[in-house]
Amino acid sequence: MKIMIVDDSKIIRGKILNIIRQSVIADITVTGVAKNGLEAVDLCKKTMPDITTMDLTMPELDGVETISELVKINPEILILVVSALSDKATAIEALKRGAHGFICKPFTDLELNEALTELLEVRNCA
Amino acid sequence: MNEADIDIFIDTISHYFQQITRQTATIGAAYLSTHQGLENYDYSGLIGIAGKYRGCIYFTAPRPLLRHLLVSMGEHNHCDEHLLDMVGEIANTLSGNARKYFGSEFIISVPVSIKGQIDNVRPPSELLPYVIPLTWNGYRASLVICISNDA
Repeated sequence: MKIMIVDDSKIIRGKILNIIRQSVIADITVTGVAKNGLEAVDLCKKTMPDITTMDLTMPELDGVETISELVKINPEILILVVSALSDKATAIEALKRGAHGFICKPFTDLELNEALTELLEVRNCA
Repeated sequence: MNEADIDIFIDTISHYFQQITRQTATIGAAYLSTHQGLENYDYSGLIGIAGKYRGCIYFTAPRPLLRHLLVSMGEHNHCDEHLLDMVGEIANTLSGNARKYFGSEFIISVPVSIKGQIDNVRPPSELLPYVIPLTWNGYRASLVICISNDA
């Protein structure tokens, strides 16, 4: 299982990377990290990840638009939004565009692990 | 801005420090300041606000507080790039979390992070900023809110 990390903060990208590396989730490999939507689209075309985390407030191309682009490239991609934007309308819009899960910053290791596990269960049930 | 609006930001600050560090931040009494009297610490993360609201929000903190937070996040390199990233991410998170209450018309910009004095930032002059002082792990910092509701 290949995962991509998308966030404009290097600190957050590092935190997510560390959580995934220490995770008990089996067979998960980080294929790359992107600091904005344009990089994410490019990386997705090159590496075809199965899962991606997705920040929403980013320069160049925001997360909501990026979700739509990634789904066009790979309709099967599982997208977990990891964002500080905690209003209901934003979450609904992200889900409409093709996201499968949403966790709010600030998040704990446990919350991210649980959200990723749930996403993989979706994949396994499909 | 009214007392209930300020309380929302106080809640987001408390939640942030508790969630990231498992340590409580002590929030001081919020006060109305002047543009001249605003203090700022070593690093500041600034968010522009647009949509139904307008103005800006910034989080300002001393270097040691940010270094401690970086350690809490698992980052042991405390270079300027990381300190600026950290303060911008805090400002982004506190502003973004406030949308739970203010709604999606509380549109936030990507953060701009500044080291030193924030001389070039000019919030709307007719708006007086609210300052929410806080102390975490013995370090003082502030969240400054300078927004109006255009509705």
